[in-house]
Amino acid sequence: MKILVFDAGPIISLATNSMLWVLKILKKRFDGEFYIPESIKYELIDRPIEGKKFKFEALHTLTYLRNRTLKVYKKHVREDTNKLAELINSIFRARGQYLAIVQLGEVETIAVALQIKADAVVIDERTMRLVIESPLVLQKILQKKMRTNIEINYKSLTQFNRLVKSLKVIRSVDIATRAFELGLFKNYIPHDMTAPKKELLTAILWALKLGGCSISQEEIDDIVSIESL
Amino acid sequence: MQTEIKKEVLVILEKVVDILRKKDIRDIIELKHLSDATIGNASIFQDQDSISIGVLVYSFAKVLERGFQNEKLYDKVFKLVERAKDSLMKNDIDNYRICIKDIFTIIKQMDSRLKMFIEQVLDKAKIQKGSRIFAQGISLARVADMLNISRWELMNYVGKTKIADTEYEGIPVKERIKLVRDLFQ
Repeated sequence: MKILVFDAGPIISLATNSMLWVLKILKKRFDGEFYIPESIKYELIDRPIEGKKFKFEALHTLTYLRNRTLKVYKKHVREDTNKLAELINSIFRARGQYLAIVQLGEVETIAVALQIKADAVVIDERTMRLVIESPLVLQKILQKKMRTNIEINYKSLTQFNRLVKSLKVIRSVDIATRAFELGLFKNYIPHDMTAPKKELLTAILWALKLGGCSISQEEIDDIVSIESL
Repeated sequence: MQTEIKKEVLVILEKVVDILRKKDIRDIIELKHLSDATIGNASIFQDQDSISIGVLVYSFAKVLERGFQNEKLYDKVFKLVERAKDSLMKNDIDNYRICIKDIFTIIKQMDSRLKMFIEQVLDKAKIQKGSRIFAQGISLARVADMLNISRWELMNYVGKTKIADTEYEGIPVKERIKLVRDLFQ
């Protein structure tokens, strides 16, 4: 069975732009399961439901658990999560201090994906994605922004790399781009504009970017150009 | 409290005492800038002292910006900042933290008519400081945890800034699109 594991970020980006419906349709095409870890459910739903801010968005997201578009992964991953978090948070060191760059919830997403042998993880966050895909780029960013030398603990990095080497990462913008290609957004095409499809795709990608998905303007331009609209 | 954190917090407190003594509204901008001074330490050490002083100074600047006029409470805050500074100089960390906590309490009580505004200011201060820590390379989820704010709030704020717009040399866009095409055929 095919499986995708979602971090909170992409669900937030999609939910704040009223695009969660895309997941329901895409899931049928995917012919597999979309999972979120328990701690991500807490972040997405249980916690905001207790307050006023983002309560409606949380209730809206809850409907996608009720209709089984998203499922909570209930198997035990605590130890794997802790081990992974310890590894990631001991890769970079600044001023003699290991940098705790990631949080347990997002690490649980990776732990679940590894345990369940997911086809991909969906992560909108720049930091976690870079740790998996390009840790040396992250080192450069940390160094530049913190204005201090960042050492790498290659023992932790090698161990982590070995664990995640086959893990694929996608973002909400990639999912939305595929939904666009498949014509899921066809009702939104502004036919009276000069390049209607281009306008629509650009709007979708910018909406997700403004909703918090980490994507640069150049990447948005690249996607629009790849789609040759 | 680590020595370098203490050193940095002390520099901030000394400047805040100076600014508050002068009571010059034009210094509010300086106060706001000052609130970012501990971000480097907050990102590396992720200690509550570096975080809380940033949030505190930013919130207070915002309250003053709004035209806060309560002289009595202003003096109370001023005295507490001085006491916090003295405690830290004497290495009395417990008392320093009590003073900081008391200042937060006073800010929250400053004006019952402004209650909603002050709550918003404190939230905004956390989100603003959080976005600065995120800019340093710490993940949003981690920052949300550190500041006890939700990822919903933080993502919403960060998305509208240029913070996440860094040069990115990860997987090329083309490759990722190929992957989603394979996943959703």
